[in-house]
Amino acid sequence: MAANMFVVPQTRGTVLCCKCGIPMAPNPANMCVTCLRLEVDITEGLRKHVIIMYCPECESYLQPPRTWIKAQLESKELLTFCVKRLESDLKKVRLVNAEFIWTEPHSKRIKVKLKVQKEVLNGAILEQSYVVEYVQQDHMCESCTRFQANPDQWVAAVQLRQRVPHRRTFFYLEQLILKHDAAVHAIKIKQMDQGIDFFFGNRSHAVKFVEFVGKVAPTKSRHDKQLVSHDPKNNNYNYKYTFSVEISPICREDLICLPPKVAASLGNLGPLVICTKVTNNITLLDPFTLRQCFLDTDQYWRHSFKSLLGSRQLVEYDVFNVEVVSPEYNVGGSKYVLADIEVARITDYGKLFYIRTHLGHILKPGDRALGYDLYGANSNDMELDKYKGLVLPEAILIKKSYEEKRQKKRGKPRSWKLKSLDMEVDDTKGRAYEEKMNSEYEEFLRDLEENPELRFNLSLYRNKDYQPSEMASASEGDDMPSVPLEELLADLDLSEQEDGEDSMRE
Amino acid sequence: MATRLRFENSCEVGVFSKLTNAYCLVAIGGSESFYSAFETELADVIPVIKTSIAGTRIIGRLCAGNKNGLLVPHTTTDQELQHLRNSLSDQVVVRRIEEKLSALGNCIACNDHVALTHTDLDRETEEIIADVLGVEVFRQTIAGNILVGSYCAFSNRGGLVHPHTSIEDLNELSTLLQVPLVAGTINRGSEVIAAGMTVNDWTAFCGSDTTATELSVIENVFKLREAQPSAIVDEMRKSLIDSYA
Repeated sequence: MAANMFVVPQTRGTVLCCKCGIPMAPNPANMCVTCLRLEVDITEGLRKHVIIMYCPECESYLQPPRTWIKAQLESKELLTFCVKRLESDLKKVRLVNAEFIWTEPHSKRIKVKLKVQKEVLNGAILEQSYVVEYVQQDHMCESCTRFQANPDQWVAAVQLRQRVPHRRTFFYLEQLILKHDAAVHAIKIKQMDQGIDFFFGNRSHAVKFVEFVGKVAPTKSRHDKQLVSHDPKNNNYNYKYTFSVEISPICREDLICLPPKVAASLGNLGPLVICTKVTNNITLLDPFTLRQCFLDTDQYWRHSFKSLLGSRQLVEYDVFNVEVVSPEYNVGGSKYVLADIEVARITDYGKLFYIRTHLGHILKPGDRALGYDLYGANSNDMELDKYKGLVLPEAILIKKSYEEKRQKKRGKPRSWKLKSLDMEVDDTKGRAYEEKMNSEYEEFLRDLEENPELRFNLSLYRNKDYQPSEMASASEGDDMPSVPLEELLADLDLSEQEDGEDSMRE
Repeated sequence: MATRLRFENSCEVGVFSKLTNAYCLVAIGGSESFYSAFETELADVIPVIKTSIAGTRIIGRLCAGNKNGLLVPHTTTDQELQHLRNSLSDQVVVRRIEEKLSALGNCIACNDHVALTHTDLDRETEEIIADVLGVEVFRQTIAGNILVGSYCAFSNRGGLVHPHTSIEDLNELSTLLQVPLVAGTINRGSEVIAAGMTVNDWTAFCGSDTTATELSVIENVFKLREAQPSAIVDEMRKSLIDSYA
């Protein structure tokens, strides 16, 4: 039709409803809405009562055939679930709207008001709302039943071990696990000697966890399964799986004497090297040449050497004189300066050592440093014996010591805190063991303070109880390493009660 | 009076019958009841003729006519044509027309003075309609529907049109036809008016689904309550005298 054509205005007339005779606008059925409603009930044949299975333990609903959906009352998820249960009905009509009608939670009834549309009587679309009542029937879900029967029933266990005399690695790993929520599916976590056991209700959860650990630490794992029961008629086998995961005993700050083969393959590194970082790679630094090398998991386990001296053997030295012999080098992101340095053990000033160190950038005369006392050490390392004619340095410094300054602060709370895994601890070991654990944990916290690189991957939370005192901040100076406020996360506190619980470990 | 009836379980009585002021055509059905319903109402006034057109029973949709004449489509057989001529009085001209739109009942709606036709009808056909039926011919649509014969029914006293007809269209049509019109439905909300009913000046036959409301609308607009065959003739005579005077 041409745009400029004259169009007669059209006024919609009224016709009489064919049943009741009231005037109305013509519609496809030519019947007023009231009459149409009386004539046809579009909700006829749609289900008004539905029985749903509800697990009171985990507050989830059964989505047939087997899925359990966790949903809060009046939540979007529950509405989706409720509407889905009517799927077969809703093929007949078009759903326009659905909303909850409030019911008492203990009534075990959920009411949903649905608004549906359907075509009736030669093309007229009728809209009608109706209420569907869902009756909750308590029915424990499979996993809860199993849990109720025996809460410790696990299918897969991961035994994480590191054969070293300290637990530093596990403290760090715990934080990593928390940060990545890697052990959310764990049924039970148990602290063991030289490691942690994780129990899972499902093999795949355990496999996932093992994979996670493999990504953050150099590990070696093997798995075994034990037949619990089997049903030859159905060919069902019921196994318990055990994953044994061993973390390499090389830790950060360890002094290592590389086996000749490894040293050769790394381009005659060392053989005395310091481990500076452990992820799924091990980073080795030669403190005399500032050469750095990486060993990946496979490379490490091919030779699986041990460390010569570990962080527990660190000895404190006083620094008397520092002579820088090289410019500042940047090795793998951290700065080092080679220096000739004059030190003495604080326990024995009678012997002065003139040694070379890679810590020329942070050590000044008068500082204290931690290092390995090779002069006094009585090493019976196999690898070391293989090097004929190797002249050992008298000491190897590892890091600057803040022990002196820290003494003032002892007993004061930190401005930050860490979360901890819900771990079962064996209390039978006695006080000494507990004290050792606490001091190791304290050491770990100090490590975090000193190494920004270390806490880079972790979540530190702000300690609300901490009140910085004016005195302390004035006297502290800027020398003490601490965690800057902007790195901390605010913890989500939902209730007072949770605060009271000991969910935080300081 | 309006009568409710059905043809072999179908409420579309306008399809199977054709009622004018001078004759009534009825389809040949399996049972006599449809025919006898017409017979009881009309027997002593006008002839009720059982016939088929083109061998089919849907005679109401195939032919168009008023008291002056009857138009049948080209598909009508010679025997049927002969039968109609024999059964109708000599005043009624029966004419077979060569028109490609052969469902004349759907394309033409008429009373004794005016006819509305499908817009695509041939010019010759239009002339024949004017000639044979003695009417003024208007090409029209009803609520956008070109099948004017299906969507409206009118006599010399009133008319019922498609329910979607706008008020402007209604005014225009009633000016053309010179009878009062009303938009309405038949057979419990059906829009195909002429299929659901057949009407002349004093009586109407509707499908049995027609509700009381629809029936009362029909009786009102076609003025069937006071209508009697003799009264109609008297009134027509008066108006004729008026117009010749």
